[in-house]
Amino acid sequence: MGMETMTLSSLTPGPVLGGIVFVTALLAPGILYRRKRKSVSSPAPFPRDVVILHQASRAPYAPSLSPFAIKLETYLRVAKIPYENVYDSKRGSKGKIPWIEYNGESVPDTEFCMQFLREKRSLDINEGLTPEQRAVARAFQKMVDEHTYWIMILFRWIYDETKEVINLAGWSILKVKIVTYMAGKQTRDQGVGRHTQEEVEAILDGDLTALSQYLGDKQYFFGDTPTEVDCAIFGQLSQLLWHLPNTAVPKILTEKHKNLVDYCERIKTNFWPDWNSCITHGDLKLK
Amino acid sequence: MALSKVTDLLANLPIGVKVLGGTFLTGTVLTVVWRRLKGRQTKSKVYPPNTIVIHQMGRGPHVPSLTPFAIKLETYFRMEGIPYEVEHNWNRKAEKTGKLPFLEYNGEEIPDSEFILEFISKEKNVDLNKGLTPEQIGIGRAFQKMMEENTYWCFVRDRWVLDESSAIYKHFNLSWIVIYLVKRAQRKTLWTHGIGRYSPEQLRHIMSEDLKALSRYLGSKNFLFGDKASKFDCAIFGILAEIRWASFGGFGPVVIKEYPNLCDYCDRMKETFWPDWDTVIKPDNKQ
Repeated sequence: MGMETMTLSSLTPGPVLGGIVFVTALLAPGILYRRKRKSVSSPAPFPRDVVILHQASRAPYAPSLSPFAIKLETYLRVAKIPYENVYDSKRGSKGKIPWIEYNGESVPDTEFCMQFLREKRSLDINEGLTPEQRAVARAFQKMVDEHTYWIMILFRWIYDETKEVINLAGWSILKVKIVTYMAGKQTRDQGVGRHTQEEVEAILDGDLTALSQYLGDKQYFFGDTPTEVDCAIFGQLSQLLWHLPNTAVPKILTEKHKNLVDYCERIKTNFWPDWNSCITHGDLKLK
Repeated sequence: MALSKVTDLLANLPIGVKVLGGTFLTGTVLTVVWRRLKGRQTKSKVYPPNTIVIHQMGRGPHVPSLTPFAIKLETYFRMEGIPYEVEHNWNRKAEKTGKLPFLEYNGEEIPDSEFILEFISKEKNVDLNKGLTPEQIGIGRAFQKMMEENTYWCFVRDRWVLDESSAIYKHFNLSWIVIYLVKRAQRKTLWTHGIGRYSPEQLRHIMSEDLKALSRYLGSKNFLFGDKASKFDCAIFGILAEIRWASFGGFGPVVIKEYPNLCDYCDRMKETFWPDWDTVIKPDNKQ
């Protein structure tokens, strides 16, 4: 049996076509999936000067499984900006949710959304802050949204074997398996996923201690009125406190950082008086 | 049954594909094995008891290390007058986390710069937060996390992906194939992380806003909390040094120049804790 030599003339159409079909079949689903998830502006005409907030559906023990959706919706309530929710899985232009539409313009990314609304509505809930306080606010917002967030992801998808909240939210087994795999990969890439659970709990405690110590016995982070950073912190804490029931996290909060628990309850009472109608307890018929 | 179908399919592939595939697979396996072996080679070096050895990736160019976390550690040890040794090996990563830098101490490996600092603080009886109030510790952690978990990713994308001149790759004489493959892999990682979804202008804006917050908080102080540097200054200096001096073809240096007090702060940290900076940044310096 001699070795066949590969020459151009010996490349019969069959294998070549087969190769093209194979490569297309590999790449096509990814491309089509990305296209489908890109934002399409809502067809229905919405009222002027009303924010259309695109987010996933309501969740079992907090208004959303996404800390960023809660951050943005809390901001809209604090700033008293009229809004309507659209519960769909359409992604914003960066491929993520939540995102907003306002008078025909669509804006992704919660920080960009708040900046956009600040300008459009000429309203800055950070108005009374000094430059130094604004600086501290940004530092805390980045810590919770870019660091504490990934720890929450680890607990939700990797450490919590019961996945009670995810199951109550009605996710299919396949979707759960895919997202669990991705979460493992993402947290490894980000770094925090390379540690043991015990180490991660210690890291989380470090973040919570920083928040707790800065808040102290104040009502909100910078005094008696909430600012943008309170919305961000509440968004992340809401997941830690209410959406990780079978993990050590709620206990860490209630036993070691009571002022953060009181802070969450305060925001819930003052800005989410309709909290109970914004959570599903697992009833999938409720939006 | 499925397995025999797969093996049949493989057997029926054109010989050229089998040869290419086989070479690629063998090459990959050999490379991984070789790198692991190379990494283990230096394990045989024995140090006197209680010697702190920082394992990192090499000196220079432009900065004492291309990873900000090694600069953070070394700056801290210099600040506290704790003697240490350094070993340089790109291929020997921490066994637990697969990353650099890591610490070797009495035959034990400790990964992660924060865990290393906590370990050393217990071992050498040093207070990491000496002289700081609880509120300052909270603020310090928030700024450190902002820099290490947000600004860090901005500069990684800037240096390794957005720089069209591929300056850092060319510095290491990497071929265009490697540049293409590494950039592609990085783009994917950064996309799933989130930071990769911003346009270059938006990314630059995010980096600038982070530095603005830091600049405002620092003000005209010598260090973050006054006239004495703390562990938080070491962490922040690590990131700033990379942005200022080791962005290669990226926009980092232009962005930091918008904040003169941060440039002065970098020079101050360098002069105070790295009087041997010019010697140390030479790539062939093994100190």
